[in-house]
Amino acid sequence: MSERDLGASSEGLPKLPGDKGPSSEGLPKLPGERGPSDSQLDPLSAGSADDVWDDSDSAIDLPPDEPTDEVRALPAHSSDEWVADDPLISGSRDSSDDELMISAADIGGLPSELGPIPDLSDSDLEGEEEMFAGDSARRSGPLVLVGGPHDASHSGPLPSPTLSERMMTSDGYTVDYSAPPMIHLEGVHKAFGKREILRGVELAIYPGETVCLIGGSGTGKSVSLKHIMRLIDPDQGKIWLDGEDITEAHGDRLQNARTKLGVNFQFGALLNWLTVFENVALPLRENTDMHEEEISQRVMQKLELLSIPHARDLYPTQISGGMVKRAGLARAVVMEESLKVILYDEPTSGLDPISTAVVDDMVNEMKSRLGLTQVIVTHDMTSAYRTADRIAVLYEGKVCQFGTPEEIQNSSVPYVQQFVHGLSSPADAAEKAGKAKREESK
Amino acid sequence: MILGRVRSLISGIGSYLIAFTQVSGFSLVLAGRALRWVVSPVQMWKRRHMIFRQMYTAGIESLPVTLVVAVFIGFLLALSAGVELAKYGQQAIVGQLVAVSVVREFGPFMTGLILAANVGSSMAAELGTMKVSEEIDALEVMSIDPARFLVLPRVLAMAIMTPLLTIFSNAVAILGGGVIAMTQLGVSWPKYYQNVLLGLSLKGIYTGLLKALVFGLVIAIVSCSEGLRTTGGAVGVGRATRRSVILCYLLILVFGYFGTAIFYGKGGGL
Repeated sequence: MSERDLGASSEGLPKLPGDKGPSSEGLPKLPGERGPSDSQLDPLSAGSADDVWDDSDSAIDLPPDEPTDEVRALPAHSSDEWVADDPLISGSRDSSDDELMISAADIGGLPSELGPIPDLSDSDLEGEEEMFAGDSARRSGPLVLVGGPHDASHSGPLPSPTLSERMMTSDGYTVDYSAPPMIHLEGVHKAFGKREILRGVELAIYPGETVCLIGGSGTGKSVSLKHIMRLIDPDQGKIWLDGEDITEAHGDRLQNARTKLGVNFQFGALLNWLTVFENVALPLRENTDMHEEEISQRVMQKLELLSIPHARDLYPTQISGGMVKRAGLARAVVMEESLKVILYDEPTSGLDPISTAVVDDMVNEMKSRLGLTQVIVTHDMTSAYRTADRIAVLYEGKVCQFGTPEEIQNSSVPYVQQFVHGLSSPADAAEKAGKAKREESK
Repeated sequence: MILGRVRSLISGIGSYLIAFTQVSGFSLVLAGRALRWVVSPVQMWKRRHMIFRQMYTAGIESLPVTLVVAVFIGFLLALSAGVELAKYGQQAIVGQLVAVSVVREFGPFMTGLILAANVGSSMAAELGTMKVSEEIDALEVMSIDPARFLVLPRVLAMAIMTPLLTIFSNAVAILGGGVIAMTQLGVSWPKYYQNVLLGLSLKGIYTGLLKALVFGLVIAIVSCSEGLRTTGGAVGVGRATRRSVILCYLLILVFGYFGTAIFYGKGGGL
């Protein structure tokens, strides 16, 4: 129970000396209490991959409009700080109304003000409606709202347990907002020729967090993702990965940084002349001195985790799109010793609803069982709601809103309303945004 | 008006030179990154299956077409030279002429052209497709150097198989020439064979094979480089393939000329 005590969790965390943190612009509000429950997070108690998320009876969702008094007492910061001239995005929410929103920076700066949060047991929240269908993957769990975003330059790479060790943890994973961001894009600009794609992207993603990047085509989602992989050099700005500035990294340093990343490409990017097994084994064969027996064991473990052990001897052209994506993910997580982040580029594009749900479950499982930080580029709002702790909306090369799924859904930014509700008319979006704002002020 | 044209001409030449330098630099760096692993027995052992696979593609799969072309080159050389020599009653030396031309120039040249069209284009298309389908990106993110993983086996396979194929095509072209000499020029087989031996020299053989080796390296490096620089989806793959074939043809001609000039140029060469 004490783990769920916000005050207790925050008290022990000192503010780091000289911790001015990275630019706070665009820094997120902390998401609501989300995350798998203990029982669901325990891989030992969990059954097969499929039935881990089927226990919808125990679903807990703390609605954002019913905060505790203690949280209400905290100073508020709005996530809608970015205001543009564009009428589509200029409906920035009045931050004075936004009592519920707590930025990580606030809490980091005011640890003593945090009172205890009531124990959020299942019974307390019984009867609460789940906000989204299929949301069973995201349960209320221990939320540690401590500290603020730290300047990554003040910290070296954090010692972290291996994936196997992390899998052994029985109390589940939470987003660690007290740690330095796992991924931090700081004012990233990128132009291709005269076409400016990124115009100062600010993103801070914390260890264990799942963030969806959404936005219209050409807004820079995939380009942002490629910057994190360092497949593209930014024209301006900095990229931090696990406390290390990789903006200028090359050669061995870049290769070492990349060992922390697993990437699930849009079309799997499996090598067609290799079988699924050989594809998944490839990083191990190329980058480690593991014996073939160990490699085989590890690969089969991953294929079983993703429910595709039967595809081991098939070639990518012989399996379905969903299986290709799962095989791609198996390959992304096979280097478990160093893996900390998984990046997904449109993991559900082109899939039928059932396959989409399977992929979403897979994403949630990566978080709950492996405790990985995840970044997902998607157009699929249903998937984003199912999987994300926070959602970043990109518009014209900038993050125009970064908040929890609820905040995004009830956004007062017209463009965000237009995008998430799939509205063709900006006028409808503006109306919806205005309504959201009025409801919010009530 | 004129000033504008001059300016645009200079600008065009400048752009072309910049692009040429970039492409050359990329190809040379790629070659260096791939070939530095040749000295690593571990890497060579790890990549043995892929090297053999590429050797099979470059060598065995290209053998039939190379031999067909070789036999017709032999026919052509023997016939056209033999008819002229017959005017002077010198058709007996057609064997010597065929041997010298084939071993020094035509063997490596035609093998290079066939491999550029057959293997080089497929390398560029394969790597180009991998590039546009993000497989190359995936390798890089997995900390697998594409130069080591993809380029090295192809370069090695071509470096081994091009001289080997050249030996086969030389032999077949000389045999083809013999058939024409016997059937159309009235030269007996022993006479033809004797003249062929007279035409063959150690220098001729090794310069021919050295050229073949260089052509093989050029084809592999240019094709891989073009493949890895592909952008723009299917159209880009087509463009990269076409460009790789054209560049290979040009470079084979250029390197072929300079090879001959170095070994047989003014003053006897090397």
